[in-house]
Amino acid sequence: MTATPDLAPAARPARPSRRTLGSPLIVGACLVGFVVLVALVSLVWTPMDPVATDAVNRLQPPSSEHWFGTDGLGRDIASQTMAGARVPLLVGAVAVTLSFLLGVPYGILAAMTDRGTGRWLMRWNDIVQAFPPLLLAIILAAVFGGGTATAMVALGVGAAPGVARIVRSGTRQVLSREYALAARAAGRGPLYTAVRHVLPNIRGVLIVQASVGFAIAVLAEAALSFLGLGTPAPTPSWGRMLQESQAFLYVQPLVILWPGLAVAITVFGFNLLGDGLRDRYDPRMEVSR
Amino acid sequence: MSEALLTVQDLRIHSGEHELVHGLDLTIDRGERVGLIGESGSGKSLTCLSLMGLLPDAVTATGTVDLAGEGDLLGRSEQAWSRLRGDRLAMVFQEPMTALNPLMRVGAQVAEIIDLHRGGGRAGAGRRDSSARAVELLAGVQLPDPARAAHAYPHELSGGQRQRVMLAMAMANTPDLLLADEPTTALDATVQGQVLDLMRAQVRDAGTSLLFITHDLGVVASICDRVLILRHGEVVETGEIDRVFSAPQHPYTKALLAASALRTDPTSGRLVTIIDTSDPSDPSGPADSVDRAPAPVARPAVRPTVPTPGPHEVIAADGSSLVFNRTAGVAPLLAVTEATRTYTRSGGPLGRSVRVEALKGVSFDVRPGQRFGIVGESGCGKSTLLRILTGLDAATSGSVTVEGREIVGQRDSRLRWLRSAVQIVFQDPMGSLDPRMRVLDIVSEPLRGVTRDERYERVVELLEQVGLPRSATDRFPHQFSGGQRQRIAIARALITRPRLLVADEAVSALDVSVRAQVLNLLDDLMVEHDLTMVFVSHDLHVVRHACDTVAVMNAGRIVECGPTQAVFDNPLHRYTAELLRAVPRLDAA
Repeated sequence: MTATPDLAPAARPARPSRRTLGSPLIVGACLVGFVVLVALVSLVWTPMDPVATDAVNRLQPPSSEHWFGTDGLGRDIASQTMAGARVPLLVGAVAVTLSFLLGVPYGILAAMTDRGTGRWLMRWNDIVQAFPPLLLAIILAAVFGGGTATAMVALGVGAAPGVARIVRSGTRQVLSREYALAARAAGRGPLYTAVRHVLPNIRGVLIVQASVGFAIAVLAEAALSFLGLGTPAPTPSWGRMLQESQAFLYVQPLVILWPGLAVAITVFGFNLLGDGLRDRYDPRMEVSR
Repeated sequence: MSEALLTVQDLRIHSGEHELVHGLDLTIDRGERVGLIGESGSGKSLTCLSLMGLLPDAVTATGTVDLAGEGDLLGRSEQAWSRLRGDRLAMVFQEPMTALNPLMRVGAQVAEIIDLHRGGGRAGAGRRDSSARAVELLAGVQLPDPARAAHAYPHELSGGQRQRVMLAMAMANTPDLLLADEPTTALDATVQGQVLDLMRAQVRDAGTSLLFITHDLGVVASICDRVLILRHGEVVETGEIDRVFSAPQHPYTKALLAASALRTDPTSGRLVTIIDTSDPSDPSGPADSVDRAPAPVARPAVRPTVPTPGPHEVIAADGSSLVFNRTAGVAPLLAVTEATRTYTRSGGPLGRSVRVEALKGVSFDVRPGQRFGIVGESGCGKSTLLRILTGLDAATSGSVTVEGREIVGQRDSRLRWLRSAVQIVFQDPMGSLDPRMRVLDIVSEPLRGVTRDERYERVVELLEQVGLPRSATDRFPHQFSGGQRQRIAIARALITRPRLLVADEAVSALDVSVRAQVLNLLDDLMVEHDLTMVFVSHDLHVVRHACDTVAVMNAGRIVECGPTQAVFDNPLHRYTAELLRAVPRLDAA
């Protein structure tokens, strides 16, 4: 072998940088970062005690003392909104984790077993998916009592079938590639293939799904708290703030604005982040790899 | 005849700060057929796209592209381009399945092109006209029953038929210039020949000029008058095709011709490979990315004694069973007896399920040390057979034994021994390496129960044998070129020290120059590792070089088998003869 021209390095694929300022990824990350930061700060400091009532100063408009005004019980809304970020973020994190713990193995299993079993597993998945998470939350609340834990479980279980579905199709794609076949030819079992080939290659889709799932969980937590199925009083939560301020909608409409805005910003942030991550990770956009 | 239709001057194509095509000059006369030849990364496809104004956003072209009667085309608006495309300029792509709209009947797709350039389908009458014209055009490309074909969807047609439809669409408005980018690469040899004949006839009858882009010198020889050889974005040689092929001037052209013909060096008996003449400070390939391979160890130039060739046999007229290449005296390493494979494809909730017989009873033996080639066109069952041999798919009936041990009907967990005895190299070195794994993990995947250090040592040793540096271990597959990736795949296949190596179109996805190198490498490794090889390919040329025995498959059966030379020189079966005739040849010019 005198000549080795094919040893010249492969030309690096030209990949124009998408990470410019103002891209969904950056904006989304900033919004999410801001919300997380506020939640963390609220653990050590809020302008006032978020749960201290003040019967004299009810329904105050924003002022230098109460930045966002006060609610029907005279509590400081700014402090409540800050502290109210903790519960949705916690519920989101736990629910997404739970849905992944259930959905990822289930989806991989459904893709890797033989056709008949796989289909049967997916029909089960469909049945669970057809069951509204809200209904699940109500049932769980009826049996175990409402609360943050109930909301987490209900949302996590409710989101799991969607995760399983995505994981299954991703896994099938990976299994159809020759490297999965090569692993079999190398004498490697399904567990090895799942951990070494499938998971790393569907990682991108999973990250996107986590981000979008987070947005859905935050919204759903607000809805559950609004219905009184989520976090009980007096722990501050955006959903319950919305519910409580309903009565004063015509007296002091600003009261309802703050928690609503907080939910909107958080959901928007996670959705943008998911979009941005999809641009980066979606295999269909990865042309040059 | 010498009126210039397209004049390209100093065409430069940039992607970011990288220049990919360095000042290309090209003139195409009316009615002239020009071939643009280059290997992957030579810039041939980008050149083609720039002539159609279809470059991706991040890629820009400078220079002049002058079309007779239009002036310079570069920098025109999208609107100006679309007026020309499909009317004066037309293009045929490599993959007809993705180039046709899967949800539209092909007749409608052809008619659409006609309508677009006749002021749009204003009236019903115009529409009916163009539908009728579409059927005419489909008849022109020799589709059987064109009226019915016009009502078919792309997936209902075969690959060759789809490419005919593409050609009909391209020629619908009798363009001045037809650009064809590897139009027959995805097709089988026999179909390729027919499509090329058709394309030549269509272009000649319409007086259209042709720019034919390909990596395959044999194909160019049969269709073009003049060629340009492109390398790293530069034209290294241009001229009349006879002159270039018979008396090439540039060393690259010479080497490319030799590599394409799989010419062997008379002194060493090895394939001639292309010597890298490019400047080492080549900006397109920074040398820091992968170190040069260590100098290969001196290897014996003589091939080991080939086992005594088996008999040359054909399938009986009644299709009765016959064990091809039967061994006398020696125990076969691989023995396949009456292997069949039947798939049941469900026809959806309402359709009936369809039984597909992929293999209809195949029997043959392979002796230790043999290089057994299997050739056939797509759908002949060769890939199915190969998966059965490697235990990746189970035969419906029959028996397959490796070193006397049965593998049909065994569970995966009972086939551990087989995994180290038989290894496989796949066609596409891109798809067969996990993009998210490092080379160390990829190559050592088949290794079990060894210590970290031993694993590393064995991987490095094998990488060196396949000509890759130690530093390759912690890189990812995308950091390597196609040939390098195939070397990695070969290293992975050899790490368990298998007895039988199965190669599934192992060099089909590689450039001709790299192909020769990988074949040489396989040759060396066969000797070094005392391997037996089953080599599956659609490329008769490659099989002729790489194998001592060849089996020809057609429609799920082996129709002919025997020593390679005997089969190629004196085909006994009609199908083999047809296959041999269809191969485009360099000397056909």
